[in-house]
Amino acid sequence: MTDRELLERIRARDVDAFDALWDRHAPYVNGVCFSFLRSKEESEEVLQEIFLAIWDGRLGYQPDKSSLTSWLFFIAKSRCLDRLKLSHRRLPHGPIPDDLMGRDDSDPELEASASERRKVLRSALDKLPQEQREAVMSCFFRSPTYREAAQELGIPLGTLKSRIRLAMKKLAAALADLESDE
Amino acid sequence: MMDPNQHEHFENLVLFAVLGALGDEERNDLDRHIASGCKECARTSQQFDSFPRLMIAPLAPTDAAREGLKAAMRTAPADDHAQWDELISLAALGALTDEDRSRLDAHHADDCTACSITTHELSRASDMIAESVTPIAPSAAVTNAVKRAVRAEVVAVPSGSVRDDIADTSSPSPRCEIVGRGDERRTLEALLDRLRKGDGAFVSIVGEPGVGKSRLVDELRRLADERGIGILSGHCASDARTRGYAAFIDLIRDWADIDEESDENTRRARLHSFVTALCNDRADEIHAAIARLMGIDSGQAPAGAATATPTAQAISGLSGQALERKIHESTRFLLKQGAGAQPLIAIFEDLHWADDATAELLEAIAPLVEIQALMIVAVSRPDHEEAGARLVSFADEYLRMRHTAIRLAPLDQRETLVLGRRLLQTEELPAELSRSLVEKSAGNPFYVEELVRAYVQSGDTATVARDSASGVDELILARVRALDTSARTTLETAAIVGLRVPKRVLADMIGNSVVLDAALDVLDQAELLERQDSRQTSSRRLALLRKEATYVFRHALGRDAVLASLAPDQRRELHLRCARSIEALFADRLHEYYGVLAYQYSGAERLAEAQHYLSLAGEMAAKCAASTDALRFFRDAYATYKQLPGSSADVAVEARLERNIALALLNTGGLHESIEHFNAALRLNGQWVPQSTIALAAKGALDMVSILSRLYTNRLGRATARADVRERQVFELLYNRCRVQNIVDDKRRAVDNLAAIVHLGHLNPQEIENSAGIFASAGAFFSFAGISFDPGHRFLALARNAADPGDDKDAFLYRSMAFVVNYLQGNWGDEHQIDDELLERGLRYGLFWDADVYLGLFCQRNSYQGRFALASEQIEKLEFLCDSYGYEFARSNVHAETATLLLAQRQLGAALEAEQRWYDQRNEESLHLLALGLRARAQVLDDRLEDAAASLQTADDLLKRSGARMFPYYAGFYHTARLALATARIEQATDDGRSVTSADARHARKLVRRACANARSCARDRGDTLRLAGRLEWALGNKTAALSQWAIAREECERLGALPDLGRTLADMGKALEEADDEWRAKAGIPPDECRTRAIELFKQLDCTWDLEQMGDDVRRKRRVA
Repeated sequence: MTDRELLERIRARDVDAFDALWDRHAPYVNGVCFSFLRSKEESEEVLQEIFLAIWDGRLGYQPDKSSLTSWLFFIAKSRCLDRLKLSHRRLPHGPIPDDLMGRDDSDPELEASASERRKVLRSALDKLPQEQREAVMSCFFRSPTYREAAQELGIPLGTLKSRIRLAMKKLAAALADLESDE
Repeated sequence: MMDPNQHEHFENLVLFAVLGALGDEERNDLDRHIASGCKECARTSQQFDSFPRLMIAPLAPTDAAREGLKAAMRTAPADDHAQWDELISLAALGALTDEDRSRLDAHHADDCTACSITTHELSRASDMIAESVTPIAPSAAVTNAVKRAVRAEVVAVPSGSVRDDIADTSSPSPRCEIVGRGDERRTLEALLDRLRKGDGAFVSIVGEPGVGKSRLVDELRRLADERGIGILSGHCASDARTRGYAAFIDLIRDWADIDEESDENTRRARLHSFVTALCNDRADEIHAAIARLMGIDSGQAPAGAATATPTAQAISGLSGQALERKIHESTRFLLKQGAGAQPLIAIFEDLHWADDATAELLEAIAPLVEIQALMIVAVSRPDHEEAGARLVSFADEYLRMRHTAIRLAPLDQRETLVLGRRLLQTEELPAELSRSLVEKSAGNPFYVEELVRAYVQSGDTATVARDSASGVDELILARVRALDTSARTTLETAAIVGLRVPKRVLADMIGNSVVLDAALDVLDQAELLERQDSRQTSSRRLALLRKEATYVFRHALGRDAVLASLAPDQRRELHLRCARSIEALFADRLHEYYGVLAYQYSGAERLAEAQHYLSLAGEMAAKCAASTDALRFFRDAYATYKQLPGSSADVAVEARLERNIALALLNTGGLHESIEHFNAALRLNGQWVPQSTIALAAKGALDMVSILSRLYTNRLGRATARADVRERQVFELLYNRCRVQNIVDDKRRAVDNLAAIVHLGHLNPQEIENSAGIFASAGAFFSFAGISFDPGHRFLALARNAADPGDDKDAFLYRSMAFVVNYLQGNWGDEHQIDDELLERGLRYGLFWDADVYLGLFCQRNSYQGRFALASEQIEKLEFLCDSYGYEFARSNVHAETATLLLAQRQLGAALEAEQRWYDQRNEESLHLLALGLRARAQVLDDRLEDAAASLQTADDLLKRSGARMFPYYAGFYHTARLALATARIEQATDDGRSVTSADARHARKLVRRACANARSCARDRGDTLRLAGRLEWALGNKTAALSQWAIAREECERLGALPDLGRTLADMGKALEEADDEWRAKAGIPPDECRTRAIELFKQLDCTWDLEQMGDDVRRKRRVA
């Protein structure tokens, strides 16, 4: 059953569909949360909040806007950042944290592929001009919205968006190279 | 430029265009070719070879090419998947409208999405980042909890939805969406929108039972949740008054997600991590106070904090009002931090049942709504003066601009019928039922629901009419009677337990879990009882599911109806079973249930147990500074004790109850009343408490002799015998009675202090808490009373020995009382000053009286030393003591020391105004004498001699009325003012050339002797007294005596550092010597010019403009005379 079908069924209060969605995506969302919060207990709290919000239909996922994984990533990121903000904690500036890019403790075969992609991504991120790199780091890992990221970096919103766009093009190109190699 | 049909060239041309190689004219030309090519593509759409050319369309300078793509889509056969795949891949490169995209969506695979190339790029990169996170499997416990939460909700009736089985007459009727309340919802929505922008609010929702308060609050929660606003809830159950701060405990437990079933260490650790996240630097201190509020303070450092910080330790030593203030301030800070991070709503439901501590704390935090994104929602029934109505009045008075009052009225006729139709899911109600709904329910939605349920259950309107004849209670009971026996028994048992019923208590009382589960299902179906988690937001539901199952009555009216239907014997029996179950099930944390147990045993009419638990509940409330609740518990305990049969009477128990009431009164400000209970407790402990003045004086004298003899034979403070419990209790009573007497009763103060010292003299001071304090106070007392400074110092030495070196409380008590002794004696060096840090620690221990005394006297010393700025600082500290700790006695000291400072600066008008405020605020004779003396002194200086005489006459009347000897400190201004008035009159007479009678002279010298005697015991008045004595003698012609007095005055002022009085003495001398002949000038040892010069220097240095003007006036007067 596809994610979309699962979500449809969840809207119709199908408990089994919810269980399936949980089994399929909860580990991933938990991984995202842990990357930000570095606390097993807190990660699981946010994980629960997100899935119960999905169950309650309060999150409004739109399949035509993004993939479910991507959407879950941003929902989880947003909630984790809220929590960090609430407790006056911040993710540090500077290099992208290793554990934010995942850990090498899952399926070895999948991990090998993921590890290669992380390496490429990391390398591509490192090669970005400083201001583009900061823009990506802020938008993806520190600020819940573009507006707040722009405020954090002290640049206009439009400038931030163009930096993100440029950076993303370069990252996409790096990914394309990897895929063509594969 | 080229043939429009040569499409193969297009791609290269477009690339040039993208690269900016083309000019405007060439680009327009290119556009035309693209448009033409697109049209051809559309026409020959079967020829897919031409399609790749359209790949360039999105990169073209205009939208023309995209039109071609759309044309191709329009002509593509619906079942030609190959074509559509091609189109989809092309579309991925182009910016299509939503309509175009939806057409593509109909054909593409589920995991494909049509989007622009930029979005595609961004999405790929985002996905790449998102996917690179390594999954971590959540724990099995969390997985199970979430899945259970979801399943539980499906099993229960979803809130706000209508059940499918409504047509089944065997089922009760459901709830439905909120009906009416449009204005209220709009008001709340507007407030929530303002809250998101940072504007706080205080909302009171008031309505009769069943009118829909909870439903409106549910709606508010939903609206807030939609807006991303944090929701906190605190609930007051009908038995909330069984524990202080009940609503706040509920709210913080919910907010911090503390599982009440976990052990105390776990709960404290959880609270600590929660508080740390919000409060940063102040975390330990705030945690200590909040843990105390929640009754999970065992005095140890929480897990996560290595050791308790000094601040947290200091809080553990607080009690009474000091602790209460600290808890209020800490809760305010916690909410401030929370609202600073995210807009918050704090909902307090059923406040009509609130305990006193909750109501007081709510008042303390309410002003936060003026400065924070915080909305406080107070929900209550009307006409509960002590809680709900009190808060509405408070908000009206103090938060007028932020207060929104919502008074829920009954539904109108139309709304009533709409509600009925919705509940029955029908377009038309039976006529009889409509009539019943309108006539019987009077617009009360709960009543409407019950009527509909009755109709659904019975299926005929006649039964509804019959059952509703006696009101809503009868409707509920009719449904209860229709239940099977086990469900009915379960419901009756639950009603005894309370509005919220832990399942395990029910299980213990019912004794058969299978029967219980079945009964609970029936009651859930009947919507009489429901699981606590079924009406919550998802996260709250989850939190509750992880915890113990608890059932709540669907409505308090339901519980009331069931309770009222129980026979007295049945009630008693159930209350007793409930109490026994709680004792058995919660033995490890029984302290949280003291109030509940008292309630249950009272209901079971087991008076001894009820009294026992009422006392314990009071002690628990006192421990977390819920002083008013503590007093209520103790009074109830005392009343219950008095109902016990005579054989059960126990003097020790009664003494303890009297002592508890006295302490609770002390903590709630009932000082005069507390004395009666202290005395009663002392009598019950076998102590003689004299009542008549003669008996009092006799006891005072006896105690004095006993103390001095033991003090001077080195027997005091040397007892080594262990003190038993009773002796300790007696000392505690005496000590605390002294604390009260220090404020309320001048006459008894000395006697009670002596009694405490005598008692302490028999005990080993090292073993007795507060022994250092009582010795230090005794030292201050002997000095204050003007008896002698020597015993004062001896007592201070005893206090120093008895003090625990590491105890800030002992240290502050000793240092503050040592300051008193030295100040009065005239040791005005800075070594006696207390540093701010120790002062602050003293305040944290609640040593307000001692801090107030110290600050007042330190202020005086600075005023008399001419350190006016430093004196002003102490006045500010007194104001802080009053404002921050609510110690109102400090307010009068603010006025007193302001008046003293202004008098020292000779700002006479302002000094008199401050003195008047001081006088008006106090009733104590000693303080009135002090104020009247200061008033008269200022009036003499202002040359208002008749007014001064009148003030002194009032003081004389007071002294006659009182009959008591006033301590030198209080009489000081009175004596100097009398001397100043006599001196002024004699000087006036000599200036006018009138003779001074010998009687007047004798009287004046008598005043000098009295004033000097008084000043020996109170250094403050020495400079002024000696200077006035010199002036008087000079005016009387006794110049030798005058010079002698002035010499002593100068010497003493220099020793004390009393610069203003030194300057004034010099000025007086200078003025006198200028008119004297050379012989007297020589005898004075200082020329008049030098006196004047030095006086002027001092006055300029101290900015004493009044004195400078006086000296100028003297010069001008002299010139006029010349």
